[in-house]
Amino acid sequence: MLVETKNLVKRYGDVLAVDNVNLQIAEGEIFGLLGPNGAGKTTIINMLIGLTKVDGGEIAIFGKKVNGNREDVSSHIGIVPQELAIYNDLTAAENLAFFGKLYGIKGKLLQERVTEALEFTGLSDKRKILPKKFSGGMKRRLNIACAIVHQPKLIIMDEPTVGIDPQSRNHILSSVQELHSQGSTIIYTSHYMEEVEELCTRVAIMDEGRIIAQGNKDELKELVSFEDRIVVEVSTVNFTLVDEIKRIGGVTDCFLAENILTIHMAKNSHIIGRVVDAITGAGTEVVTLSAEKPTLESVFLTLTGKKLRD
Amino acid sequence: MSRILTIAKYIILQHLRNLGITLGQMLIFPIVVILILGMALSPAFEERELDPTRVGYLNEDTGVMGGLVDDFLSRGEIAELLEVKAVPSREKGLELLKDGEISALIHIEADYSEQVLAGNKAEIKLTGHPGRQLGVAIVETIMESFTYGGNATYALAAMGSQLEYAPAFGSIEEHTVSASGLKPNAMGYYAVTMLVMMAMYGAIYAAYDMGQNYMEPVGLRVMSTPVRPWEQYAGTVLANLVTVYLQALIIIAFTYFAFDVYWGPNLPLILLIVFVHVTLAVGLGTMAVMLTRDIARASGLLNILVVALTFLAGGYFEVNLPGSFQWGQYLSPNFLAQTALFNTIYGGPRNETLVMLAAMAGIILVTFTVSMLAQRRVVQ
Ligand SMILES: Nc1ncnc2c1ncn2[C@@H]1O[C@H](COP(=O)(O)OP(=O)(O)OP(=O)(O)O)[C@@H](O)[C@H]1O
Ligand SMILES: [Mg+2]
Repeated sequence: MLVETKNLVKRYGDVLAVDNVNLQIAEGEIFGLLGPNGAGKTTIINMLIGLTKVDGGEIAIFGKKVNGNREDVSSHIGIVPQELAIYNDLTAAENLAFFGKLYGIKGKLLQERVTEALEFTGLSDKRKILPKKFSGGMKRRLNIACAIVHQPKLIIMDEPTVGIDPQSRNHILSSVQELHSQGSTIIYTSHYMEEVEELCTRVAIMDEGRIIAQGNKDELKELVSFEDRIVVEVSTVNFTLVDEIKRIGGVTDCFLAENILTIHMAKNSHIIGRVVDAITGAGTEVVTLSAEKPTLESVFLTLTGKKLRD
Repeated sequence: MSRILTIAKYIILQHLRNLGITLGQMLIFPIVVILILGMALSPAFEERELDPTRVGYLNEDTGVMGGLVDDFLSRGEIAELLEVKAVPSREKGLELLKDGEISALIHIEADYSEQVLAGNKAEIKLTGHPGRQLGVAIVETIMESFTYGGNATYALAAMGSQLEYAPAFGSIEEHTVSASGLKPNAMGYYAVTMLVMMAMYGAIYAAYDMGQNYMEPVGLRVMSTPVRPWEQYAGTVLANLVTVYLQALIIIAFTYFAFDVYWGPNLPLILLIVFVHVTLAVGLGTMAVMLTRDIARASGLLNILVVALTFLAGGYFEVNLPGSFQWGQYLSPNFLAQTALFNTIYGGPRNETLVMLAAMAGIILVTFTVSMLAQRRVVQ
């Protein structure tokens, strides 16, 4: 495991910000940490990089305990903080050169890495500009560039797309995929479940300091979807059809509204074929058919009774 | 080490980016104050230097060279520049100098002609008033034009000298009168107090940069790199020392060259005192931000504090606390620095200077210790 935490605990006074969190993140994953405001995502990240003291439990990264090896471990991590962490009085290139140097890169290599990071984040033509004059999205991109200038093995991104325009957001999302395909392992936190769903290979869902579910997307959805649901648009309305479908083993419910049939069935009952047969047998045609899968949003809703975002 | 320098370098770069603020608040403001207060309050400190420069003249040489100097000084164009006042003795001359009656004393010793004619090293002694740089420079230039100039060559030839060529025969040996007991003129006074005030404003830089380290995401990002906490701390302190100290040096140089401000006979000690004071300011700024944990609040606080400390120390105008409260001024670090500087420039007691330096070192120790302790609480 590239990152492993055991019973991680963090308290702020009475608030249990992180409550016995166990994470296992393997090399090559895009690991999503999904949770609403105040769930404890940032706190976990700060403990991973040694910025926040750990009240209980253990962390190992690259097989080493962070405590006592912070310098060594941190040199292979790139962090994209939730809040913009760039110097407004240094140009884009100077920001990158500064952080590159802190990671021990110098001379010609440093120049190359700075150029690469600027290109990667689409800021090449902004090299000599002060971030003061950047748009929000450009600042976010520089915030990311500063984390990858030393080409780390592990990149931690804490809500890198908060409050930006769709174009910059798409740029960032495809950058994440590109970094992943170049071999980096990525921890990605968000409360945009669409992003996590699109990007991540594995996901931990957090609420109030606890991990309430962890796994790949399908595993998580399995957790909550006690039944599958298909929606069929039919050419003609036929009320006896509803009763006929209900008689198919595995179907738990069926109803018709206008010419849309909604059918609930037990999970993995593999009866869509029989449903279609029943429809065509009744002299009606299937116009469209869609199987509705549960989303991570619905997973969260089911597990906590809350919405991810208000 | 290289990471400390990297951090310092990039912080200094940011200071330079804000050159507008730097120049305005840290340099132009003090210089303008020095100029305005120095001019306006001049009469309160000393009589204006009269034109031409008054100079005391003691000629003990009855030989031919002594006569030549007499002739030289009584020439019309010289008389326009110098008002020569003969003095009966060196003691009397120095007394006039201390009282500010004259700006410089020209002293030609009895064996001057003898030494010159023998081809030996001969000197005209010139003693200047420390507060009258300009006047002294004028006298010095004039006397140099005598010793090196054509006058002397011509005179020698006319005397049928055996010398085949006329070398520069004799040089000016410049003395500065022991400044003990002298008081600064207005410009000299404000140059010191404004320098001290400006260095104190350096505390705000330190508060900002240190605050950024511990309270702002970008500083936390630096913390998440392999940089050790003390390296980050040291780099930041270093950057602030460099920036504020450079500004102090600019003020010293500027007032010296542009306003003729006298900085005394012991420049290294002046530079040391200023450095200690700059360090104190950086320590104070660091402590303020570590205790308040809020850059804006720390800066606001320091802004008020610097004004108060400058005022208490008599930085804007001389403050005379009633007898039993005079110690109150020592509460202002500005006062400690000013006392040490004035002593060094105008020949005050050296012991007191050392006590001031020790007290400042003590304050520095306290500020950095407190910041260190407070910093541990900031990182949770
Ligand atoms: N420095 C701190 N002092 C006190 N409480 C804190 C501190 N940092 C975080 N907390 C508390 O810990 C809990 C977790 O906060 P955290 O910032 O980790 O959440 P998050 O999941 O990152 O939320 P968001 O999506 O808003 O960024 C919250 O209740 C927060 O109020
Ligand atoms: Mg957060």
